[in-house]
This record gives sequence, C-alpha cells and structure tokens, in this order.
Amino acid sequence: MALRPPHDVMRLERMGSFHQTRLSFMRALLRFLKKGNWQVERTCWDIDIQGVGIAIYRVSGPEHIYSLLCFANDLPDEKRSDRVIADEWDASFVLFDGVPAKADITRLKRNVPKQEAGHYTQKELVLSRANRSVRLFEHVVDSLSSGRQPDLKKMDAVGYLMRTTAVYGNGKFGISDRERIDCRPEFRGPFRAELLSVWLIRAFTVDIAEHLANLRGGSRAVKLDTEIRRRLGIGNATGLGMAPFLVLHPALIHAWMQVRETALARVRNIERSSSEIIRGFSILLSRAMLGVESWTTADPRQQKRIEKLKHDLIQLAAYVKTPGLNMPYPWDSLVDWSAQNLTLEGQELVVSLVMEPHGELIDELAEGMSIDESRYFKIDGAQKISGALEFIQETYPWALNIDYSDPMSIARFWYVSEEKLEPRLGDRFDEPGAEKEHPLAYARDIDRLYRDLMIFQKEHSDDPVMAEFLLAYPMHRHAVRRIQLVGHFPYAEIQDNLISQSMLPIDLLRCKLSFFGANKFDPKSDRWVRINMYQHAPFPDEFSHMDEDDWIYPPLRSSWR
Amino acid sequence: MFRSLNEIEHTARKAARGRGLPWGIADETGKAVRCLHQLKWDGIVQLIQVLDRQDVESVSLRLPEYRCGIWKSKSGKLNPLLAGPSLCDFMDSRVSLRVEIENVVCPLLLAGFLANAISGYGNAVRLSWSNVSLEIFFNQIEIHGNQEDLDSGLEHHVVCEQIACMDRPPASVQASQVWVDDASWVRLENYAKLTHVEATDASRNTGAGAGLLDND
Repeated sequence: MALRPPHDVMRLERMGSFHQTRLSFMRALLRFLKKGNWQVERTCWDIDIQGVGIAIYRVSGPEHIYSLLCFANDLPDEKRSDRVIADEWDASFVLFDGVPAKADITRLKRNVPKQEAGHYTQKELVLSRANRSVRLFEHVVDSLSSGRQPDLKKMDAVGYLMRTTAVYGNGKFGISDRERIDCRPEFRGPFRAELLSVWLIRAFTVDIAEHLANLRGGSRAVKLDTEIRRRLGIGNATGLGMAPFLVLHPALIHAWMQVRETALARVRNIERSSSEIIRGFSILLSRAMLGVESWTTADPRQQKRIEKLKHDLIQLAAYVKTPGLNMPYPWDSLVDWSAQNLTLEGQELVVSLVMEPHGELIDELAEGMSIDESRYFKIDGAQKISGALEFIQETYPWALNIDYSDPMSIARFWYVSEEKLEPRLGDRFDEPGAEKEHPLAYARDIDRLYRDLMIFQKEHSDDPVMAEFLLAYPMHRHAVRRIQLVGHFPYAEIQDNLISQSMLPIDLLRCKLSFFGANKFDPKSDRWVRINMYQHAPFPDEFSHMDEDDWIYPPLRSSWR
Repeated sequence: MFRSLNEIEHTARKAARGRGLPWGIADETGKAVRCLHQLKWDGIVQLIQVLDRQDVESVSLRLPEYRCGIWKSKSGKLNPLLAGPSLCDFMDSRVSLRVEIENVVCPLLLAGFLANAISGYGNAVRLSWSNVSLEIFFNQIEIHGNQEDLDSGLEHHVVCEQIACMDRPPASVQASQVWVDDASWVRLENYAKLTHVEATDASRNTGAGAGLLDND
C-alpha cells in the first residue's frame, strides 16, 4: 500500500485537521515508561497554607533518575498572564538530571522562579512554569475542603487545574542541549524530556489542590475521586512561537510525517480483521464521539468544524454497522470512504482511529521519529544546475505557480518582536519591519532561486555546479539547502505559501500539537490556541496498575461507577 | 557565564543576520561558531571582530577567477563568513581542492565552517597562514606552528587544501556548555537584536493573545 503523497498530506488545511494518534509523543513516552517499569515517587513536599514552597518528584528508570522540582508561588490574580513575557507565575518547574543535592536545590530555588532570567547548568534539562485556572482551581480546592467532589460540568468545561505557559528544553537559557542526552533510550523520541516534565507537572497540580483543601478543611476535606481526577489534564497556551519550528526543521518534520503515513499504510494493508477487533473499533468510536461531545470552544471557525465532525462521526458509526469492515482490506476501504464522504477533520480522525487497534503493528514506528538534522545540513556543491532546475520544476509547481506580484500572495511577513522576543506575523504593507523578515517565505524564495538559476545557466554554457552558483548568489543558500533536503525527504515541505493573506497560522500550531498528543484544541484567535494534555491519562501513583495507553478517548459512561 | 552550545549557535546566527548577511550564511555561521566553541576556541570573539568591521567584502563574483584557484575581493579585505561556506561547497565539487584566499579576515572562522562540514573518514583539509597551519577533521582541529598567529584580527593570505586522513576516528565531543565572557555575549546579542522588529500599537493589536483575557 503506497503512502499518501506529500502533495495531499503536506497541505496546511489538512495538517490543521490532524488529531493525536497512538504514535503521538506523550503516548509513546508513557508506553516507554511502563515497559521499562519506571517508578515515580514524591520525595519532598514542603508547601505552606499560602501555597508557597517546594515539591520534588523523582522518576527512576533502569539507568537514570530524573527529578522534577516544583516551586509553588502565591501569585496575585492581577499578575497571572499566559503571555510569554510574564515574569511571575503560580508555579515554576525544572527537570533535573539525577537527584539534586541540597546545594542544587538552593541554587534552583533562587533561579527557577525567574525562568528566562535565571542561571542554569547542564544538569537542568527542562524549564517550565504554569498558572492556575481561575475558573477551576479555587472551585476544586473549595469543594474538596468542604468534603465535596467538584462540579463535573465545571471540571469538563476547563479540563485542567493549571496551564503551562512555556516549556523550554534543548539548551534554552543555558540548560542542557538535547545532544547531551538524546543517546539515552528514554529521550530518543522527540520532546520526551519536555513531555515527561508536563506529565509530572499535571500530578503536582492535583497534589497542591488537594494539599490546600486539606489545610483549609482539615478533617472535612476529601481527596479527588480517582476517576474524576483523571478528567484533569494540564492546559497549555501556545502562540506563534511554535509555528516556525515546522518550517525550520524540515528533516524532522519529514520523519514525523513519514512515520504517521507509514503507520496508516500498514493498517490499510491489513487484509482481514477479526470480529473482536471490529467490535473494539466500534466501542472506540463511541468513546471518540464522547470526546468530541466534550470538545468546546468559543472560536466560531472551530465550532463549525466540531459540529461537522459530529455529523461525520454519525456517518462513520453508520458505516461501521455495514458489512464494510468484514470485507477484505477493511481499513483501506474505510479510509477511502472517509476521503469521499467526510470533512478533513473527520478524515484525519479516521486516520487516528484506524491506527488505534493496531498497536502491535505500528507502535515500534514511534521510536523512529527523531533524526540527526545536522547530517543533512551541508549543501551539495557538486549538484548540477540543470539537475536543480529540473528538481524544482517537478517538486515545486505549487510554489512556481503563485503570482508573487499580487500583494495578497505576499501580504504577511514573519518576524521576531523586540518587545516579546517571540515570532509574530506582520502585515507587509501596513507594518514596519518587513526588511527583517525571517526565512519562512520559502515558496517565494524558491521561486526567486529558480529564476536566478535560469539566468545563471544561460550565462554559463558548461552546466556549472551549485558551488559556483552560490559564490555569485549567496543570498540563495537557505533555499538551496531546502530543495536539496526535500530531495531526500519528500514530507519535509509544507506545500503552501506561508506569507499569503489567506494562510491560517493556527493550522501550523494544531499540526505540531497533534504530534505531541494534545487534544481539545481551543483556538483563541487565528494565532494562538489553548489545549489540554494528558487528560484521562493515568497519574504516576496509579501507573503501575493501569493500562498506560487506553486513555486518550474518554471512558464510556456505562463504565463509570 | 556558562552558555549552552545551542544558545551560542542561535545567537551567533541572529548576529550574522543582524549584520546583514543572508539567512543561509547566518545559519552556517551559527554552526561554525558553535563548532569552534565545542573545540575550545572562542568563536564568538572571532565573529564579533568580523561583524565589527565595515571593510570586509564578499569574494569577487566572476567565475573564471574562482576556477583558477585564487579567491579575492574587489577591495582587498575578504569576509570569512562568505568564503567559509563556499569552501565547504567546493570540498564536494572538486576531487582535489587547493584554493588561495587573499586577505581574509579572522581566518580561524574558516576552520569552524570546515570542521562542521567535513564528515566521515578520509576527508580533511589543511588551512595555512603566516606561521601556523590547521589540520581540520570532522569535529577536530590540530594546530601546527605558531599559535599566536591563530586569532589575530589581521588579514591573512590563506591556503586551503584537501589532505588525506585515513584511519582517524571522529572525535567524541561531550561539551554542552561553555564559558562565554559576558562582555562578548552582550556585543553578540546587540548584533542579534538587529533582527528584531520594534513593537507598534498595530503589531500589539494583532499579536498572539492580543485583546483577549489571559486569565481563565
């Protein structure tokens, strides 16, 4: 079974419809931890009635130990902000490589609450911070302190007690580079250290709410019911900072996409499925429907998409009742049917759902989602200009066919704001700064490269090589590197114009976050989104006796106590 | 203060771009400076020396001169941030590369580009100027001669030639953090800041999260 072609998959509209799959990073991480019998224990809890103090969670595996240090703060309401430039938070966190000595704890207590402004060493792997949900945190503490479980409607309307506002890894602000730890089995997958931190932070958010309820309510206080507790994930607010990543790491994005498409192709290639698998799929579909029912957003575009998705799922449920899945190549037929009958949201949810019963066939692929990008950085100076021109003609017709003299085609530019040091999208004709544009306009840049290659070829009859072209045209080096890389990695390029008036950055965010394993996408504009991570996942204290991978779709109500 | 290699790479990249170099060159400059620091050379100081100068240029743009093996700029001073990436390109395109580069400023930076680009066995380059020569392997640089000539800010006539290096295993590099002088870092960041766009009311109003309540 062939993989879906890049010109179909690598379109923003489709990428912006992706859902998590069982290959998503947080799910692969939990499977890995379970397989290696990793243990989590809370080794320190020293937090006062104001909610100020320190907690430490220790994670121990076969070869390494990591510690999440949590610094809790009593933050005035008016200082609570999702924005990346805030300078104080309800809690700040660091994932430490090993067991911190007293001196480490003292040093980190001084620095971690300052986040970007702190000083760090190679022993620090991930830096993060989080704010309480004003809507839910106090309600949960108040309810528990009075001996009641919180209101489920309120719980589901928010879905988390705290939101992380940034999770930094890979050398940011002086912490350890990923290269120092990526040879360790636990960190071979993408963003594993970051997502391990987030999983532990989720546990902390519940622990501190229960702790404060206990201090407030004394003997009346109760803990969260374990099944209600599992309805809490950890929130995250993500802005444009995430968008350039997909463009600036083309080899890595290819690895993610190719694995996802390979997994789908493997499933489509299954000739027959047992009635047990088909019955399981039907139950899974009902659970997915529950998940979509509880997916709320105030964003009109996403609201419409969710409504259509609900309709898609009704159609899908009807399809599942037909003999279709009992016929040869049932999953291939289903994917084909979805392409004809469902919205892109629906089609991509089908992709996620058909993978779900087939872990044995595809889970090992999740270990192949990293790549050493430095191996593909060097430009091949020996490439013939004629070969490069031919490649661009064949691979980039979508970019060459755009009319860049039309202001709508170049309406935007990507830049980094001096004020916030975060990526932003500007209006080229109304805002200053276009001369400081960041290199995300690759469609236009490859069109420019193509034109100059044509000129250079006409000037030199002996079919010169790329090294010679780049001496004369060094401004094209980034575009040349890109086309050469795409020659190796067909899923490396998003086949859309990222500076056009009609481009929706939210699609880039959704795609990346789906690979993380996030769900409940709640766009707050076309440029930032709130999400929920690890909702329904086991907590560390129940991890050893729970299925580590059967949590992404909510349990059916009939299975509730 | 200690800095991670990724921080060094990204800030050097932005600094090069801030000084007006193309993004592709800036990408390679970041990696070259990182590579020098990884090998215990102060790449940031070298980079700042080049970025500070107004009088360095690209190599002249006529192909026949390159093909004869002598690279020079029109005005005399040659920018290693432009010559370095091109040297790496020609490493692949010619079986036996020998290039003379006239009046190149801070030639140690050339070594950063080459050390980062050379990969695998049997591939190495020798750079020579004044009384010093550097044999450059993948993630390794061996120095011969007078080390004082290495990081002088003067222009040098540099000879670059490919040499054989069979049976040499790649060096294992462990460092993830290196010490960077605070004054140098500030100067590097000042160049990097030139890539940032000043905020306006309009940009604030269209920025992520603008106009919406952050608290929930």
